[in-house]
Amino acid sequence: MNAFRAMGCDVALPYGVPVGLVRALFEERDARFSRFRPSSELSRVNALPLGLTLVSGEFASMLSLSLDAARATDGLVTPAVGGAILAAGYDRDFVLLPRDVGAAVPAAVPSWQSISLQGGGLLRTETVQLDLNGVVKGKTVDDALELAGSGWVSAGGDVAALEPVVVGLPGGDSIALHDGGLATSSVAKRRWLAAGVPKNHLIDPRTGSSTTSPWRDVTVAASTCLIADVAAKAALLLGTAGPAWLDGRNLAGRFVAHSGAVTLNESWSARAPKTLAA
Amino acid sequence: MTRIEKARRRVTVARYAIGITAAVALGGFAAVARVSHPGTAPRVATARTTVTAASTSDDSSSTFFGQADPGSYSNIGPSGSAQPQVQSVAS
Repeated sequence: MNAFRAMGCDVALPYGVPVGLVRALFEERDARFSRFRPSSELSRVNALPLGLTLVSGEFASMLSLSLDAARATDGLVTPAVGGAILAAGYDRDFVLLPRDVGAAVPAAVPSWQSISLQGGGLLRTETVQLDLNGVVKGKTVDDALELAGSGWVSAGGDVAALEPVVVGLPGGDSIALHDGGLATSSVAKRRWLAAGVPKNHLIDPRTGSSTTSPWRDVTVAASTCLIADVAAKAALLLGTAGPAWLDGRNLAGRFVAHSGAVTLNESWSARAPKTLAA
Repeated sequence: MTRIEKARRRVTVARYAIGITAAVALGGFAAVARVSHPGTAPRVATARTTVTAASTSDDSSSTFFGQADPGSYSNIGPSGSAQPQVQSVAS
């Protein structure tokens, strides 16, 4: 298969698809939405975190999706967590982060409703540092698959497919993805210490700090990778309420606890009852 | 109407006119800035093609978990003994 690295993760796709086009798309999105590149449009927008800011059409579209995700998850997956993730110590590319970043205090996450798009402008009525990571990768995988025109695209736990592909799951099991999207949200990686206190990259907006969910990995299947990714993040943050929350939306979810124990929600069990082992 | 009342009326009318003029000028400036901004184009060029970035709907909650993802949709099934071609794990 073809593989390259972008957005801080491994991107893979089968031979025979236009890897150059896919790579260019990932690099363009990374250049625009990276929190760690001073030249990115996101960094420029976050330099003035209050009031009206002119943004590009691409930026406005991605932010619109992010606000849709916030609305659909009651604010659990929100673009307003940028300040909190910085306060937790995740302020540079993860490979450059020291093992212990020193003391960190939770930062209140502003309401996503303080963010709105007004024509070509972004309006923030509270000081908000944006972080669009909740949607950028999933949407880019979906768009990359559209560019590829066949096969599948995988990036850091997110998979989108136009034809059947067997996907390995956390804990060693596997599933057949016929088409659509499959995404895993996880706190198994991108972990660090803040004055000895374990932190992870998934901020719970209700506390302004890294999640303490009982789940280590949550995998969701949906019609698109974007939907699967947003749902997986929300379900992980919801903790023990996550499986039923996904069932209420007819989404299949597989939950792996920190102990390695696997829980399937009803929707997953009905579609792939044998994926129990961890 | 006294001279003082007439003067107050003239000041009120003048303030109103200034407000309208400023609003029109600001709107014109915003329109020009939007049109001339290099990032305004809604499509992004890649190497040899273009990709529409995303929905721009202001009320598209159905994009997630709604009618766009009906409950009857089923895209997964058992893999049998086949080896994984790709992983969905944290990286």
